[in-house]
Amino acid sequence: MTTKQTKSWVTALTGMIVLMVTSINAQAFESMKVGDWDVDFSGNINGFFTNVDCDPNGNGVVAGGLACGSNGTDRTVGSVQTGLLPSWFGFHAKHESDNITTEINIGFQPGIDGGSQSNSLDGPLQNNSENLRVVNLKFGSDWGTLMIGRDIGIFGSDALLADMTLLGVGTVSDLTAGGGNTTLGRIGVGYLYADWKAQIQYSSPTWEGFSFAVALVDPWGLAGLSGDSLNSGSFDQQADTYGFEGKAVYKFGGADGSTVSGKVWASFIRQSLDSSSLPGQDATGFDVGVKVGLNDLELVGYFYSGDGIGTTGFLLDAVDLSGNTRDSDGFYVQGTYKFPGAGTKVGISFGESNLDLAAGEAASTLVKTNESFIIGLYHPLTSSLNLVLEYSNTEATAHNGNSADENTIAIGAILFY
Amino acid sequence: MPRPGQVAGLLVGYLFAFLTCLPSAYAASNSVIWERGDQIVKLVRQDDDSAAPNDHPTSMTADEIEAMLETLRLRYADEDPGGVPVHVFTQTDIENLGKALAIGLGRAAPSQDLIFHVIGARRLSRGAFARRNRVCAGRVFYRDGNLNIIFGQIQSPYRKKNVYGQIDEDFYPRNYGNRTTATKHDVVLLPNATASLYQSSGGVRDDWIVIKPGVAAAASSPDANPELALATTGATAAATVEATANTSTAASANANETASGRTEDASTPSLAADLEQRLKALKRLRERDLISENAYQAKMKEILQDL
Repeated sequence: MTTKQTKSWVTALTGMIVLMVTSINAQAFESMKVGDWDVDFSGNINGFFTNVDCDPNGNGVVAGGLACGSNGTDRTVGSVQTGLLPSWFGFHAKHESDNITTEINIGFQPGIDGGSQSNSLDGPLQNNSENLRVVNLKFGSDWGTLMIGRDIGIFGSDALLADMTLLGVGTVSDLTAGGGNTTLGRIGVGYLYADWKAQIQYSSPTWEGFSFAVALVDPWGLAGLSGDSLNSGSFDQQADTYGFEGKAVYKFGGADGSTVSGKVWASFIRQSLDSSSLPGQDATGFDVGVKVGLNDLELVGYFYSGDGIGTTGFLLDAVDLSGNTRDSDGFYVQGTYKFPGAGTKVGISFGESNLDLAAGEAASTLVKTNESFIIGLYHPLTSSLNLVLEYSNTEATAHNGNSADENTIAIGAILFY
Repeated sequence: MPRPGQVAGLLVGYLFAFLTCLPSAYAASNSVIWERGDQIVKLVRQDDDSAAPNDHPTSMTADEIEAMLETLRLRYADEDPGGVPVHVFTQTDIENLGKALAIGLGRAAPSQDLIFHVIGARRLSRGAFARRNRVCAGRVFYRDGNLNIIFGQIQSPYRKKNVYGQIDEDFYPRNYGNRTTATKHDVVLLPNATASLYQSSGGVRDDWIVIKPGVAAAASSPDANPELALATTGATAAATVEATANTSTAASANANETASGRTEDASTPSLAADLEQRLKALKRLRERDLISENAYQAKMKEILQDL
C-alpha cells in the first residue's frame, strides 16, 4: 500500500469516528452498537527511549546476528522509537444475524520514528512506514469461524503473544537500532516471527477448553539476512505451492476466578520451496508451549524446531548458497509476577534461537545462536496506560566463533485506547 | 547459558505442573452452562471455603428467574435520589440469564455458585440509532429460600484492548463479586417489594441482592402491579422494603430509555414508606458522598413535607 493510499484510509476512518462521535454524543472509542453492528475502534500508541550499547567483542561480524553483529564496530545508538508492539489504529465491526456472526478487521500500524538511520528491510519490518498488517473478514457459527484476509500467522504467534516484552522493547538489533517501525522483543531470540500473512484460516469452536485452527497461507519467500543464504530469486515461492499452518490449544481456568489458569499449545508450519534450477525443498517446523498462571505468578515455556524454516523470521537464512536447508530450533522461558494492589508486573526471561549449518556447509560468520536475557518492569498507571522499564542483553555467536553483545536500556510508555 | 537439554527439563517441569493442575482445571472448564460471544453463565466453586453450603441443586423455571430479574432496578450514584430508577438488565439479558440460570441451578452442587457476565446494549439517547454496550457480571446462588446475586459489575463499560490485533482482553478486569468483600459500584441497587439488600452482622452489602422467588413471581405479574420502594437504599433497606402499588411493568420500562442511555422506569415513590427509614437512608447516601449537599437538603425537605 502506498503512503497516499494509507492516508486515504486513515482519513476515511477518522471521518467515520468524527461523524459518530459528533452525531450521537458518544464517548470516543467506546464500544457501540450502530444498528445491528457492534463497532469498535481500538489500538495503542507507544514510544520508548532506547539506548543500545553495541560491543562486537573485537572479533568481527556475526552475519545474521541480532546483537549489533553485522556492523562489527563498538558503538552506542540512541533512539526514540516504537517498541515491539506497533502503534495501532484498529477498526472492528461485528454483526450477528441468523446465528451467523460476521466481522471485519482493519488495522494500521504507524511507527513513531519517521527516519531510517540504519539498515532496512522490506515487508512488515520496513522502516519509515505505515504498515497495514490486518485486513480480514470473518464469519462463523456453531461450526467454527472462517477468516479470509491478512492476519497474524499461526506458527509462533502464541509465543509472541505470551512474550512479556510485547508491551516493551526487548532486543533492538541492527535491524531497528536508530529507528524502525518496531523492535524485536524476543523475535529471533526464542521464537520465529509469526508475521502477517494473507491466508484462509478455519478456527474451531472451543470444546471444554480445547480448540484448533488450520490455515492455507500465501506462500512466503526466502530471504537472507546474513548474505550467506539464498534468497527468493533462487526459489520461486509463487510457483505451485502454498503454506500450511495449524495449531491445537487447550485453555484451562480463567473466567471463574480459579487459582490456576493458562494454556498449552502446539503448532506447525510447512511450505514447499520450488526452484527451476535447484532441487525442491520443504520447510517444516513445529512448536510447543505452556503458559500457566498461579494467582499473580505466570510462567511461560516454549520450544520450536524445524528444517528449512530459518531463524528470526520464517525462511530467513533458511537455505545455504548451495540450496540445502538448515535446521533450526529455539526456546524461551519467562516468569512474571504481578504485585497485588499496585498491579506492577516484574518479569524475567531468557531465550535463544539456533541455526545449524546445512549439510556440507563450511563454518563461516553465519550466526549460530542469538540469545537474550531480559528484565522488565511494567506498571499500569491507569487501566489504559502502562509505564515500562526494560534492560536486555542480547548476544550473537557465529559458527566461526565471532560474537557480539548488545545491552539495551528502554524506558517508555504504552497507551491503549 | 541453558542448552536444549536443560530447556527440555524445564518444559517437562512445566508439563508436570500443568498435569498436576489438570483435574481441577478440567473440572472448572467443564462447567459452562451457556456461552455466546463474550457472554457466559458458568458453574464455579464457592468463592469462600467457609461459606455455608448452598441449597443446590434447586428447581426453578426460567420464567420464575426472569420474573425476579425483571424487578431489579438501580439508580446512578451521581443522581438525585428522586431520579427515575432504571432496569439493571436489558430484556435480552433477562431472557438469556433466565434460561441459563434455571439450568445451572438445577445442576449445581451445594459447594458451587453460578457466575455470569452479560452484555446489554443501551440506547445512547431516546430514539438514537447507536447504543452503548454495558456489562453486568456477578455470582448467583440459592440459599435459605432466596436467590442471591452478588454483583461484581453493574452496567460497566464494555471495552476490549487491541493487543497485537487480538481483541479479546478486557480493559477492565472481569469481576464476579464475592462474599467476603463488597464491590463498590457507580450505581445504587434499589431494593423493592421482592428484593432486598443482603444484611449481615457486618452491615448491609450494597452489591448483594436477595430475592424471594414466590414474591417476585407474583410481583412481576401485571395483576400484582408492585411498586419499587424508592430512596430506601441503605442500612435498613433490607428489612423495610414495602410492597405497595402503582408501577409499570418491566416491559414498559424497557421501552423507555433516556438520553443518558439509562432506561427509564415509570415507577413512583412509595407513599407508605416510613419517613424515618427514608431519612436514615438519605442521610446514609449523603454520608457516603453519593449525593450532593444541595440534593440532600432538597430531598430531606421534600420528605419532611410528608409529615
